Amino acid sequence: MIDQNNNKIIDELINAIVDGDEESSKKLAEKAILAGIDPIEIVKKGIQKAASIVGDKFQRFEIFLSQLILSANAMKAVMDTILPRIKSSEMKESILGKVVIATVQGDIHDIGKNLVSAFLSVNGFEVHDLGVDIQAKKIVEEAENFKADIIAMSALLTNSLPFIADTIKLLEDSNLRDKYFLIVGGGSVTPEFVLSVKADGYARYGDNAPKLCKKLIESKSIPPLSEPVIME
Amino acid sequence: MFASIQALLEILDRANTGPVCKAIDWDSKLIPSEAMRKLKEHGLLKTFNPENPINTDNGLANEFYKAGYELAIELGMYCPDTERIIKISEEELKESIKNSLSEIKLGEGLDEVIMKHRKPEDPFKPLWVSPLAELVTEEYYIMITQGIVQNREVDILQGCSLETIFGKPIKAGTPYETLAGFYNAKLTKEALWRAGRPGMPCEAVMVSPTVFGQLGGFGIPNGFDPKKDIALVLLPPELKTTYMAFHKIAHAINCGSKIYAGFESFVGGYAGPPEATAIVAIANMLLSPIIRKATYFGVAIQDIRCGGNSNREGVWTTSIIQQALSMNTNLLSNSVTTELAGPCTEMLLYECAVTAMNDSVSGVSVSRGPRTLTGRYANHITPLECKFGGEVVKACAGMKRSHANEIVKAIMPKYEEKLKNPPKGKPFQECYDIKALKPSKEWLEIYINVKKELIELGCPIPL
Repeated sequence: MIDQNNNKIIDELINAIVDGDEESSKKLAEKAILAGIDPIEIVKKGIQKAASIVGDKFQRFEIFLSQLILSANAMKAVMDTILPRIKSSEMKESILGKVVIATVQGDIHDIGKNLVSAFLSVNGFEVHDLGVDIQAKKIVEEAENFKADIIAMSALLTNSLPFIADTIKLLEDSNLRDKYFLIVGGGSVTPEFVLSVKADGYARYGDNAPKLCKKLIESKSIPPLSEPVIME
Repeated sequence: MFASIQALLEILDRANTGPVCKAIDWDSKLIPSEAMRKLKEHGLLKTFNPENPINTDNGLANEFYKAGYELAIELGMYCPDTERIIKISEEELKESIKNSLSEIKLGEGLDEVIMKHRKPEDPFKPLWVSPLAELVTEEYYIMITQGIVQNREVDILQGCSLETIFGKPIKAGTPYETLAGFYNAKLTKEALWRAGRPGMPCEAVMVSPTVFGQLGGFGIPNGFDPKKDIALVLLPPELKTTYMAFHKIAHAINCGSKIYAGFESFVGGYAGPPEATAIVAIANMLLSPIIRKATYFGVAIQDIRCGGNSNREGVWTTSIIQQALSMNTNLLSNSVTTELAGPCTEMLLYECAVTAMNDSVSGVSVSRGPRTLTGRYANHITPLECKFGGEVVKACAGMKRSHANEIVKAIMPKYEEKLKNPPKGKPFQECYDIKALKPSKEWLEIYINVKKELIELGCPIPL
C-alpha cells in the first residue's frame, strides 16, 4: 500500500525522471526507500509511469533525444539505488532484461542506436552500450561478460549489414546462438534482411524497441525464434 | 595546391590541439544547450509554424542566420577521433564566406552545367542531383543509372549504392570496398556512355562507407575523373568531421578535385526542436568551406520519428536554413530531399513535389533527391521519380514562396497520415519495361495524374 505522503514521493520521482534530473531522481529513490515504499512498487508506480510519459512526450516532440538520454541516466540512477533492496526472486519484476547494444563494424552512426538505448533504459532494461564501429568478436565477448539476454545491433550503412550477419554467424559457430535474442535495426535494415540472417526481432522505429524486447523476454523461448518478431 | 594542403593541415592541427570534449557531452550537452541559448537570445523559440511549412518571413530567416553564424564561431566543429573541438575565429569565418565560390562549372562538353548561388524566388533554375544512396543490385545498376541520366532534368549524378561486387557483399572498411570503388566507377561510366552523357559530373564514390572505396575508385586510371567529377564526403550529425572524412578531403585535394560535403541533421535529435536543428545546420553549412574545404555542401534534414523530411517539421526547417543562407551569403547551398514512400505510388510523387518545390523557392543552388523509402530497399528507385523531382524543382524557379506554401499545404494532407506507415510501392523491375527503359502503364498513369493535380493547384510543371 502507498499512502498519500508516499504518493507524493512517487509523483516527485516521476517528475524528476521525466525532467532528466539524475541527482534529484537518486535522492527521491533513497527517500522512497527510507519512507518504506516497497522497491517493486517504486518500479511499478514510479518508473513504469515515467517511461510511459517520456515516450508520449517524445512522440509529441515535447522532449528530444538529448532529454531522453538524460531521462535514461536518471532512470539508471534510480535503479542503481533500489536494486540492492530488491530480493533476487523479485529481480525479474524490476529489471526486464539485460541488453548489449552496438552499431556494427564500419558504421559510425550512433543516433538511432542512442535512441534505442535510451528508450530501453527508460523502460527498465539494463543496457550496456558498446558504441559504434564494433567488431563481431567484441560484441560477442561483451554479451558473454555482461550476461546479456538480448544483443541489439544497428547499421545505417548498407555496407555494414554483412557485419550483422557475421556476428550472428560467430554466435552460431561458437555454439552461443541459443543464449541470446538478437534484434537488429537502423536505416538500412529491412524485414527481409531480418529473415535472411535469422535474427529474432526488428523494430522500424526506436520507440518500439522496449515493446519488442519485452515480447522476446516474455516469450520464454530459446533463441533463435522460428519466426522473428517484426514491428514495422 | 600547396595552399590547399597547408590549409587542411592547419585544420588538422586544430583537431589535435583544440578544446577536449567527450562525444557524449558534445551530443547531449553542448549541442542542445548552446542551440537553445541561441534560440533564446534571438527570440526564436517556438517560431516553427506547422500551418505554414514554407517560411515566407525574411526577417525570421535573417535572425536564424545570425544565430547560426554566432553558433559556428562560439561552438566550432567536433572531431570524434581526437575528441577535440576545431575552433574558427570570426575573422576566419568571414574571410571563408567572402572567398567561397558563388558560381562553378561542373562536368565537361555538352554535359557541362553551371551551379550558381540563388536567392529565394530566384528565376535561375537550380541544379538537380539524382538519385541519393539508393541501394541497387548489380543486375540492375547500369539499367537504372542509364535510365536516370537519360533524363535531361538530371544535371549531376550522385549514383546508386551497389549491394554486391560479383555477388560478394561489399563490407565497409575491407578490401571488398576498395575493389567496389573502382567497380562502381566502371559501371557508372558504362551507364553514362549508354545514355549519351559521358561528360556528366558525378559525385563519387557512392560505394565508399569508409575511405577505401574513395581510394579505390576516385582519381585513379579509369576511375572517377577529378577534373570532371566531384569528391563525395558524407558526415555524421551534428557538427562533426571525422578522420574518415578528412581522409577523403585530403585525397580530393591530392587529386585536385572539387569537394561536396553532405550531412544529415535530425529534427528531434541532439539539437532538439526544428528551430534548434535549423540553427545547428546553418552553423554546419557555414563551417563546411573552411573546415571541410567544401566547394559546395548540403544538408539532409530528417525527422527522427519517421526518417524523412516531407513532413511539416522537415519542410519548415529546410526552408528556414536555405533561406537564411541564401539571403545572407553567396555560398552554393544544397538541400537533400528524403521521401518515405516507394516507386509506383502517388505518395512518393506528392512528397517529391513538396520537398523539391520548397527547395526551389527557398533559394537552393542545388536540390538533390529523391531518396525513396529512405534508400533502404534494393531497386526501389526508378528513373521516373528522378525526372519528376527535376521537373518540379526547375519549374518552380521564380515562384513566390507564398504561392508554393499554399500548394504545399494542399498536397501534404494527401499523405501525412501515412508517414509512419508509407507504401513500399514496387521495385524497378516491376514498374518498368527494363528492356525499353520505359515506365509501366500503371506508373506512368500515376505520374501523369499527379502532374495534372499539381497543375490544377497552380504548379507550373510541364505536362
